[in-house]
Amino acid sequence: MNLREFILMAFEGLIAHRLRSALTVLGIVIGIFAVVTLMSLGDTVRRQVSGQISELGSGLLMVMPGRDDGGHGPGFIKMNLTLRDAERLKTINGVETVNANLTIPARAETNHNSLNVTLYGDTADFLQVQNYELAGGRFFQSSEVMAHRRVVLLGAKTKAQLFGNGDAEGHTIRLNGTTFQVIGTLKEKGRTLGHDRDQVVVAPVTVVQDISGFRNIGVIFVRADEPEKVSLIRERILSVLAKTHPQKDIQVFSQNDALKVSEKILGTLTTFLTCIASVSLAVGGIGIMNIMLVSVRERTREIGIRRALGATPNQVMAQFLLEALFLGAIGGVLGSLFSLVTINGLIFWAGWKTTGSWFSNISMEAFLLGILCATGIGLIFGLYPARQASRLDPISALRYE
Amino acid sequence: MEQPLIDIQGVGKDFPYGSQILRVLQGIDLQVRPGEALSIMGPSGSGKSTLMNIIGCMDRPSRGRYRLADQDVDELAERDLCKVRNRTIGFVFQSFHLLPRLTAWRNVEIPMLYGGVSTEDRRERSKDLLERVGLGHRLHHRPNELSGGERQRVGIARALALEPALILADEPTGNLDQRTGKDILRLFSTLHREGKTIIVVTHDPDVARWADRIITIKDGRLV
Ligand SMILES: Nc1ncnc2c1ncn2[C@@H]1O[C@H](COP(=O)(O)OP(=O)(O)O)[C@@H](O)[C@H]1O
Ligand SMILES: [Mg+2]
Repeated sequence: MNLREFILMAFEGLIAHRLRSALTVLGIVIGIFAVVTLMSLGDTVRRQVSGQISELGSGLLMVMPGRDDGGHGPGFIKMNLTLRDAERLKTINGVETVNANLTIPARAETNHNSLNVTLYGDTADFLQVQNYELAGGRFFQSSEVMAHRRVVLLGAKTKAQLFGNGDAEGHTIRLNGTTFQVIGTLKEKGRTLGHDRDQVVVAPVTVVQDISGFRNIGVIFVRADEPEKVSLIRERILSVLAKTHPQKDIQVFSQNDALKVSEKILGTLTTFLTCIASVSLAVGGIGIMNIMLVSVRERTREIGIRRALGATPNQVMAQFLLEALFLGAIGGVLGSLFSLVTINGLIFWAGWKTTGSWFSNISMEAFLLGILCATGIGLIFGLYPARQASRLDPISALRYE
Repeated sequence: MEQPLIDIQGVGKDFPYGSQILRVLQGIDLQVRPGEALSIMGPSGSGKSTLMNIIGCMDRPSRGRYRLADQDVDELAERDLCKVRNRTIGFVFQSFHLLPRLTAWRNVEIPMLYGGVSTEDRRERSKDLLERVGLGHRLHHRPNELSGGERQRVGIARALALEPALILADEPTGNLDQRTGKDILRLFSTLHREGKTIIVVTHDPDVARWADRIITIKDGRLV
C-alpha cells in the first residue's frame, strides 16, 4: 500500500465527516491566522519604523526632554528645550544643521474649507532634515523665523483640501484663528505608522510658539557633518546643554539609539502578541486531538473491519495520523492565506508604502512557518489518537456498537 | 492422504471473567480439507464465534495447536497474522460490516488496498467481483442504498477479493429473511463448486444442512 493510497484514504475519511473536519480546521485557521498576522504585522511595523528612522539619515541626532539615565519610560515629560538651546548647539564644531521643532495639532481654515492638521513649527533646514520636497513656492528663511513672520507651507493633502486644484501660494489661511500667508507647498509623502505626513502645515517655530503659548520647543534635530562624528557630537551636545540643564533633564538620541529602542519595544510587543496567538494555536491542536479521539471512537467498528480485512496496526495508525496531519495542514494554508489577505488589506487601508508585491508585506517566514507549524501540530496532536486506533483489539472493535 | 487446510488439535480458549476464568472452548480437534464445505452448528453462546475468530486468526488459542495451510499459526507474529487475514481468509459477517460511507465498489477494494494490488487492477477486479455476485448494476451504491441481501453480496465479493483459500462466514444469513438467506447459501454453493473451502457458522439447522459436513458445538466442546 503506497503513500498515495494512504493520502486518498485519509481524504476519504475527512470528506466523509465534512462538517466535523471543517470545524476542526477552523480552530487551526484561527490560531495560524493570529500567529502569522501578528508576526507579520510586527515585522511590517518594525520595517516601517526602521525605514522612517533610517530616512532621517545616520548623521542625525535628536535632543529631547527626559532623563538621560537609561530610564525613558512613559509618563509626563515636560518640554524644557528652548530656542536658545538650539542656538547654542549651532556653535558646536562638526554640526551641519540645527532644527528646533515644536509640533502641535491645529485647525486650518480658508473662507470656504477647513481641516484638522499637524502643525510643524520648525526652522530653515526643515526640508533636508525631514526629507520633504517643495512642490511649489519657497521655504522660509532663518531671518523670517527670527522675525516671527506668519508664513506657512502646506502639505499635499492640506493644500488639496483647502485649495483644490487652484494655487495656494500668495493666499492666506487661518491656523487656530491666526492668519498666515502661504508661501509654498510640499510634495506628497505618504503615511507612516498611521500618521498622515501630507495633512500637515509647516510654519516658523517662533510663530507656532506665539499661537500655541508654549515658550519652549519639543525637539532639536542636530545633523553632524559626518556620520562617524555622531557619538562625539552627542558628548558635545550634552556638555553644551549642561550649562542650561544642570539637572540633566534632557536626552540625546542618535538614529542608532532610536532604532535600537524601537526594535526593542516592537520586538517585545511582537513576541508577547505572538505568544498569546500561540496559545490559540495550541487550543486548535487540542481541538484536533479531541476530534480525532471522537473520530477513533466513532469509527471503532471501521477499524475492526479494516483489521479483519488485513490492515496492520501501523496502517491503521498511518490512516488516522494522516487525517490529523491534513486537518492541520489545511488549517495552516487557509489561516496563512487569510492572514495574507488581511495584512495587505490593512496596509492598503493604512496607506503604508510597500514594495508592491503581496508577499513582501507578510513575513515569508511567518507564512511558511504557519503552514509548517499547523502541519506539525496536526501530526503531534494526532499521534495519540492514531496510536489509540492502532492498538484497538480487532474483535472487540468489530463488536463495538 | 491430502494435507488438511485447517488442522486444530486440542485447542482451548479461556476468557478472564471478573476474578474467574471462563473456559469458552475446550479440547477442540478439527480438520478441514481443502475444498470442503463445513457447517459449525450450535446454540447461542456455545463458542462458535470464538472458534471462528481463532480459525480466522483474529484471536489466538489459549491452549492447543493450530495449523493453517501448513503454517503453525501460534508461531506467526502479529504482522504475519494480518497478512494471513488479508490473503488466506475471506470473512463474511452477520451484520455485513461494510464501510457505510464508501460505495460497493470501494468496499470491495479494501482488502486489495492492504494487499498491495495496483489501482487499476484493484478497480477492475472489484468490478468483476461485484458482477460475479450479481451486483454489476450497484457499483456506485452505498450500503444504506442496498437491501440486506445485496449488502451481504457485497460482503461476499469483498471476501473473495484476494482469492483466499478459505471463506469464513459467521451467521451470514442471520440478518436476512429466509428467501434472501437461501440465495446467499446458493451463492456459497456456487463458490464451493468452484473449489473454495467454506465454513459457515449458524445456530439454524436449515442453514447448516447446506454443507457437506456438519459439526456441532455445545458448551465449548465438539459433539
Ligand atoms: N472477549 C470475551 N470476554 C469474555 N467472555 C467472552 C468473550 N467473547 C466471548 N465470550 C463468552 O464466550 C461465550 C461464547 O461466545 P461466542 O463464541 O460468541 O458464542 P456464539 O457465537 O456461539 O454465540 C459466551 O458466553 C460469551 O459471553
Ligand atoms: Mg456468534
